[in-house]
Amino acid sequence: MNDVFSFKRFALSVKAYWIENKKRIILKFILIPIILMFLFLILNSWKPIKSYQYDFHDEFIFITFCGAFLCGNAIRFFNNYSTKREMTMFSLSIPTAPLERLLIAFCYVMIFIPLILISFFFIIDFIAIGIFNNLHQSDQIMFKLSDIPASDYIGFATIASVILFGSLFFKKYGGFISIILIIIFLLLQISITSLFLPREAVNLIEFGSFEIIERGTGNRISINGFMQYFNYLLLPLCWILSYMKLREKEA
Amino acid sequence: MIKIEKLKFGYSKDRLLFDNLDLSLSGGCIYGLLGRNGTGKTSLLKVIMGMCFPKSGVCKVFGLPSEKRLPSMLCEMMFVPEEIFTPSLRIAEYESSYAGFYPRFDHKLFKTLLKEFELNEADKLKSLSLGERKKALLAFAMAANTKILIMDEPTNGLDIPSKSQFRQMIASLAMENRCIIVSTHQAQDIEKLIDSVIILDNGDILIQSDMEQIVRKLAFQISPEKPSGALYSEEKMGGVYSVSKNDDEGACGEFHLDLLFNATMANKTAMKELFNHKKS
Repeated sequence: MNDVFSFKRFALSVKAYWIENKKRIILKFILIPIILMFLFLILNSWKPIKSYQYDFHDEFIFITFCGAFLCGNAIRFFNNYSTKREMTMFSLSIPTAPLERLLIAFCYVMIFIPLILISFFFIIDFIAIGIFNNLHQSDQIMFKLSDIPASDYIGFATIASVILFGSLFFKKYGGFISIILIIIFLLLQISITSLFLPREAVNLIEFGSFEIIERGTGNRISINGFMQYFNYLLLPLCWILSYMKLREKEA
Repeated sequence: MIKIEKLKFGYSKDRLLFDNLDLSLSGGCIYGLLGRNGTGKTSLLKVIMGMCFPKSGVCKVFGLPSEKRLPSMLCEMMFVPEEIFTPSLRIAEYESSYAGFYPRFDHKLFKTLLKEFELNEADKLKSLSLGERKKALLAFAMAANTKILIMDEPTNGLDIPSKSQFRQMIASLAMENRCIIVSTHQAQDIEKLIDSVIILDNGDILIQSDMEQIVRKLAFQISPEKPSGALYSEEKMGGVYSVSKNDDEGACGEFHLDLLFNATMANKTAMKELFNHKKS
């Protein structure tokens, strides 16, 4: 028997995960489009908008709702390992390898849920644009699939990876502690950047990417070099650490 | 099947629960693990299951360190803890989710056991009482046909008929290559069931012996008065129940597990010497 990875055990784990969570997953499929539609309608009818504002709303919804949803899924995934001892004991007694457990987490949190979420996002976006164009005949918007940058997704994937690792690392409330640590980490980055660069303001535009408004000229300079790459490095690092933590997890 | 050598284990660095513990458990035996509350029974079981890691020493299961928790090892081990967790599933869904992980899972036996415990496959685990949930998990554990079956306080929460059913089922599961460990503080529940007794105290093993050896070395008596030289005695309905050294080494009296336990707790050193346990 291969103790590192077996497709049979992986398939059994997927089946067990599906049987255990199918109601919750189906409920998500129903709620995601309803909430997205609601958000698009609320934001677009809040005040009369122009097409450029629509782009802003688009990204705002993606970052807030989709971001929160992806992080929420990451918090829940390894819940079994950090809430109650009996849950941890149950999870650890199932004959699966750490790599199989991790691969399920990866497929579910990083691929399946984002794919569903992004698909729904674009479908609802398409419908919302149709409604917007009907309401504002003079200011038509073209539907674009590329409105949401890939870096937004990578940013969320990195945050989700940190949360998954945190859920395994901390004994209780690991997901929430990880979110607080991420916020502190980003605030520190902004503070350090503010200290060393002449500026009027520093804005966080993406995960680890800053925009500096230069003093005097008012020029906007975006900094997405070292910090951003460093933050993205957290993604593979957290998965490696999660694998090690899963092997060492005690009940 | 299970070999523990020089095991040091504790939840904090300052206080070790086990200090150089040695234990060897083989197949074809039902072991009764006894001890007062907090003596480390559950911790020992968790070390065997690889859920807790030794500070030093080794715990080998099928010749491999238990902390590795290899799937090939875990698929031959089943653990029913005292505090159980059940996912929000129906019993049939639970079976369909987890039975596949155990290569010799007997679906027919599972159905029979459920029937005997008066449970229905369509029952939702979360809506069952603690005792019923425990019965469902015990049925699953027994049907898994693993080489090692570990149960921590399995009779807690079970009603009187279920306890009797549980004993019958465990007795029917005993096989040559299967090692069953039942940890309990309710000695009378497993008295007629076990082949071997392990008594733990303060992280140390006071007695590890099979029943044959126990009844050869100790005499269990019921007499009107306390016999002279008794290691331990207690007054009960029907006379004085006592445990004495059995000098002629022939089987003597009816074995009482709770009496043995109390006698051991009252005469730790003497009992340890009697059963010739190496560690002091």
